[in-house]
Amino acid sequence: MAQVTLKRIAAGDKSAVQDCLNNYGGLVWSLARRMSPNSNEAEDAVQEIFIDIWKNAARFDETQSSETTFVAMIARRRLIDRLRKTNRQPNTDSLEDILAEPSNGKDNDLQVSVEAKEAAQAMKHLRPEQRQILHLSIVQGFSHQEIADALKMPLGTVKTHARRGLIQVRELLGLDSDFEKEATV
Amino acid sequence: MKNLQKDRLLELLADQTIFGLSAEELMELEKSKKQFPEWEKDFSLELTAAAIGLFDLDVSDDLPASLRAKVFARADEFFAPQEELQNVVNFTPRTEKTIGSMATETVGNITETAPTRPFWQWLGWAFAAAACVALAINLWTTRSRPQTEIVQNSPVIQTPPPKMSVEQERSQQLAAADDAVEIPLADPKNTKEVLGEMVWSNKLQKGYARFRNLPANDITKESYQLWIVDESQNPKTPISGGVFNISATGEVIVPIDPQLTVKKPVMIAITKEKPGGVVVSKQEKVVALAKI
Repeated sequence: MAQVTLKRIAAGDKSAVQDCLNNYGGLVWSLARRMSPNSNEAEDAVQEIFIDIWKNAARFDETQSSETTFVAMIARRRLIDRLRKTNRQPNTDSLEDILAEPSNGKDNDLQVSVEAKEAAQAMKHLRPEQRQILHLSIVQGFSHQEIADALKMPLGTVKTHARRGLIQVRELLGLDSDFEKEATV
Repeated sequence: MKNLQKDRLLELLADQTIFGLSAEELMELEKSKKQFPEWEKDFSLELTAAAIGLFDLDVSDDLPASLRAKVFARADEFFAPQEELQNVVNFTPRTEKTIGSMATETVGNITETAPTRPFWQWLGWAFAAAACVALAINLWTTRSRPQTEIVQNSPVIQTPPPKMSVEQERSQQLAAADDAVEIPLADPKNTKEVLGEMVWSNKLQKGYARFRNLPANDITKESYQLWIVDESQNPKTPISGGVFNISATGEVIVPIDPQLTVKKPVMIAITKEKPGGVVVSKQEKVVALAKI
C-alpha cells in the first residue's frame, strides 16, 4: 500500500499527503534530527524535505528502490545541502565518543527498509576501515577531514576507503546499472 | 581508456555523494558526464548512501502535531495551482443540446420546466468560461514555468516535454561554441564555498548560470540580478545579464541574456537588488562571483 503513495502525489492527488506523512513523517523527522544542528533547524528541514518529495515524486522508480529509500535519499540531499550552506555540523556525539564506543547496530530485521537491511548486511562484507569510514561519514555526518584527523589517516586514504566501500555496497545491492554490467562483460 | 574514464566518473560521483566536491572536481564531473550521458540521471550511489544512512534509525517518534500542521499548510500552497488547473480542466461547457434537455425535466407525472435563460445570460457564462481558461493559461505559464528560473527537479504536473531541455541546450551551446568557458561561481566571502557554475560564450552572447546553494529570496523584498563586468565598460556600471528569483529548492539554471553587447567579460557577479532589479547596482550585496 505504501508503495503507491508517491505515484498518487505525482498524479497531483493531494489526499495522498496524509498517507505520505503517516508513512514517512517519522522517518524524515528522525533523519532531520540526526542531521541538523538543533531542533529548529530540523523542523525547517522537514518542511523543505516534504516539498522536495512532492516535487520529485514522479522520479520514483519502483524497480530501483523502495519508497522508503527514495524518500530517505531526497531527505539526505536536502539535509546535506543545509549543512553545507551553513557550514554547520549535525547534532551528534563527538567523533572520539563514537570511536570509543562503536555502534552495536540493530538486528537487520529491525532496519526500516528492504535496502536498509540489505545495506546493513552488505556493510559486513566490507573491509573494517571501509565500514568504519562509511559509518562515520554517511551515518554520523563527519567530514573527510574530521575522519582523517581522528583516525590519523591521510585524507586521500579516507576518500579512497569511502568511495570503494560505497561502490561495493552499491554492487552488492544490485543497484549498478545494466549498461555498466554490459560494459564489464 | 573508456573504462578508466568511467571509473573516474564513478569515483567522482561517490565522492560527491559522501563528502561533496571541490570546484575543480565539479567541473571535471560535468565534463565526464558529457562523455557518459547515461549517468546524468543515475542516482544509484545516492540511493546506496541513503540506505546506509537508515542504519540504526529509530523511527518510532512521529512528527510533532505542530510540525505536521505546518507541512499540511505547505501542501495547500504546493497543490493549489494544480487544483485550480484541475478545476478548469474538469469544466465542461454545456452545449445547446444539453441546455435544451435540462430545460425540461420530467419527474414522475410532474413536469418541471426550468426557466429558460435569455441568450445574453448564456453569453455571460461563455465569457466566464473563457476567463477561466485564460486564468489557467496564465497560472500555467507564470507558476509552473517561470521565465528566469528553470528547476531541474521534475514538476508534479505532467507538462508536455519541451523540445529541448535547458541542460541539452546548454550542452549544445558548449559543443557549438569554441570560445565557451565554464567557471565556478563562488561566495565572495568564502571562495571555497562553490554556489554553482556558469557557462558563457562571447560569440553567441549567451550563457547559463547554474546554482545549487543559493538561498531562496523573498520576492516582495528583493531579486537576484546577474551582472557581467566587461573590460570595455566602467566596472561600476557592469552589464545586466538578467533578473531572477529563487523560490524553488534544489538546482536552478538561469539563462544569461545581457542587454548590451559584451565585448570582453572579465567577471560575473550576482547581487541582491530591489524586486525587479535595478539599472545600476550599488553592489552592496554581492552573493556570488566568477572571475573569467
